[in-house]
Amino acid sequence: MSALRDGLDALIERRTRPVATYAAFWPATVVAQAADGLLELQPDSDAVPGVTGVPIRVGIAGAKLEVPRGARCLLGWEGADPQRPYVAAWVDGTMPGASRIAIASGPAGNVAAEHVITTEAVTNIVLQVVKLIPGMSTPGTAETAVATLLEAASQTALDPVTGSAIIAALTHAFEAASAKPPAVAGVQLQPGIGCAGLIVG
Amino acid sequence: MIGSVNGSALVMADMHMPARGAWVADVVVDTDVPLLPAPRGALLTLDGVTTWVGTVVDQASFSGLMRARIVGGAGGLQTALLAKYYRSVPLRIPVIDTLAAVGESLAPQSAKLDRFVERWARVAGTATEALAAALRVAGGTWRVMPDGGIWFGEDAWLPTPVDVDVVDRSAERRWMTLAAEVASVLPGTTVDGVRVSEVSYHLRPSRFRAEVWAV
Repeated sequence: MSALRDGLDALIERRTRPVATYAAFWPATVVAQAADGLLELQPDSDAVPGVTGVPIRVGIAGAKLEVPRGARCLLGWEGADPQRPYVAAWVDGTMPGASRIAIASGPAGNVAAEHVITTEAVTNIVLQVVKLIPGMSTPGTAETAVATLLEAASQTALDPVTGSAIIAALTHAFEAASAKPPAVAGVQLQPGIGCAGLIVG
Repeated sequence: MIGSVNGSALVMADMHMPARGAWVADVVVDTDVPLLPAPRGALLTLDGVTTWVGTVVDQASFSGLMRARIVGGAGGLQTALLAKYYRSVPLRIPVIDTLAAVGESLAPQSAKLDRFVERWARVAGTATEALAAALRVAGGTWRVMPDGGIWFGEDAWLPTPVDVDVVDRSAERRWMTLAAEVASVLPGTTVDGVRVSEVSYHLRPSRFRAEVWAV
């Protein structure tokens, strides 16, 4: 009976493994992003191949996302179809630089807005940081960092480089205050929807 | 008994041809010399008419005879392959590539593989699993043909070209037993109005029977 069961198990495993492989999400690293936004990825596992021309499912209708080389993501296949790889999500805390998200609305594209890393977003982040970190209220490096951020946030728009600098400064501010965002009681910081590397409260 | 393997007479044989996949034959051969285990090294005939090209995957001698299992083609379909990625190719390319990697070959009469795929990911696994993935997209079926080639396509359900003698059949016509003269009934053909999904041949010293399962 055991042999029969083992044989049945093996048969089921053999029949379902290929589909199960395509149906799973595989951690991968961004090797490059083409001008059309499609990604080249190298999965961690050799169970699935390195892939090119992979679209990102941003999670916001009409949005396009630019991500840096080295970004970590989850690779999957729509409908477990070998023809349809896609990036499903981004792995928290692994974005080595700034990302850029563009959102277009309206079927004709006549109404469009671009969120790079906006002053509003940065201001909101800074204000939340100030609220969350007790050390921010005391003079010192952290306060200076926040002042720098606020000054940058007064600009009407930020390009990705500036945005990256602000995020880096923000990270520095956290470190200066010896505070790690996830350790703040009652507050869970996580990547924004579709905004790889952009941390919001 | 006119059946043989590589010229050595068959004592008995059971061959099964599934609707999809490789045919398998369990044979007892009147020889004490091991059969050549090389890919496509086994030339099997049950009826003296059709030659089936396969590979001996297991064998043992007993009482001056050789018992062997022969699978259709080069015997490579269960070989594990590394993952591989293709861009902008007809589906035929990853299929041929997969078969070549395990010593198999695509039957020239294959169809349904001209579909263009912008991307194609072969995950790590056996060649059979890779073919199954291609089949899910292409549709139709695939099987190892008598000549050992791997055929992809849509079954045409052509009538079996010879008359058959129906010995027994189920009331629902789901299966039939035929008194075979030649091994001419294949999956994908039609016998006595019944579409054939699978066929088993049973060759014994005193008789030759075919069991046929309907679609």
